[in-house]
Amino acid sequence: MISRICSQLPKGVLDNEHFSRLFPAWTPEDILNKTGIRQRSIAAPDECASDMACQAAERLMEGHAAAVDSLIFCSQSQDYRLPATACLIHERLGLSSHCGAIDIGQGCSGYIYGLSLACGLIQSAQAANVLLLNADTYTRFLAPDDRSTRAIFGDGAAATLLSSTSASRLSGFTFGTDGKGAEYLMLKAGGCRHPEADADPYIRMNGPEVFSFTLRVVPDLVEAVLQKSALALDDVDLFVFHQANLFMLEHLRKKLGIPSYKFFTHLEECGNTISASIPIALEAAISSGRLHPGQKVLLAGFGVGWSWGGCLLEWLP
Amino acid sequence: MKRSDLLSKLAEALHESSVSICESTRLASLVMWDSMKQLEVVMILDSALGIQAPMGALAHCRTVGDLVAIASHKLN
Repeated sequence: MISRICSQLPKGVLDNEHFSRLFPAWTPEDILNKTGIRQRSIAAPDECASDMACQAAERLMEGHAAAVDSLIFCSQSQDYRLPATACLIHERLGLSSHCGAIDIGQGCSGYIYGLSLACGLIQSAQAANVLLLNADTYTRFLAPDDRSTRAIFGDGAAATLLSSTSASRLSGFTFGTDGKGAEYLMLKAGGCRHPEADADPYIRMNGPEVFSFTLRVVPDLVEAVLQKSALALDDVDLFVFHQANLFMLEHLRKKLGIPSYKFFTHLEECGNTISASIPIALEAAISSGRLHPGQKVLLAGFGVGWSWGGCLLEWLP
Repeated sequence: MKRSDLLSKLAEALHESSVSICESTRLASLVMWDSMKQLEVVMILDSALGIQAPMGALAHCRTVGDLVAIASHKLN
């Protein structure tokens, strides 16, 4: 299914030295030790998630846009309330008028959802080449004085091409939802529920609740994906999780009994890039030689919603 | 695990030179009681006892004793 992945990060960054000047109680070393992040990618004021997504897509397709017959744009940083940003991206990329285009408004689990939807389109012969774009500009919505969110979130995009002719296989899709956790990672303004002008315009995150949630659901999620794939933990060659923060990921790794050489992390230079974090990490694993053709990768995304999802990728480019 | 053992682990994580950590210590009195310290508490509860605080429970904790109480059903 997955043919290629390309990522795109904005040029701007917020590094730990600058962050420490903003929040002097934390040294640059404290921040790196606590989050695993050295710098966060920051989109320019006039740079939208769709801009980064288009740049990633153009590099990914390299003139083969005509073959794409379905576009999925996963983001919580759309250009407008309407129309769907996927329609605007469709126009910018010059895709065929016979190509479907849709937005999905999911966050940390968004890559898994996108892969699942793309798989369904291909396996049901509704599409042959699906362009999945994951992109967000969460940093736009962070309170200037909120060091916990500003410490971890970064902006970025990834483009994934899924093709009916690709040998790579996706399986074991598993999803879960618990809306009782919605309030712990929320941006209230901009929707219909709080239309008032003075609605809280910032993302509010309760980090400890997010951490507790991941510890509750991720072990069972991993087990479910393995069961559906008829695999044991040791059969998996690489684990690539949503790149939330290194402290959380490292604790999860130990809790699950995953050896460190099988656990891929990639957030030091970009931060937590929401649904783009898994494909950005996958691309890095491929380009750095950590992921080889023929290997099995377990992907897991979890967070805002609460929403979670996982699957197994057999990587055969 | 004994209650005193969990208290020791929490005290070590919450240590501040000017404060003696005990169950009655008010979390608001700790200078370093921030979201990062709370993550450490979540990790301690999970590592030591395999438990996660019920959703919303941490926000209602006012003292170190309240943190210990989250795990009371697992303590000797």
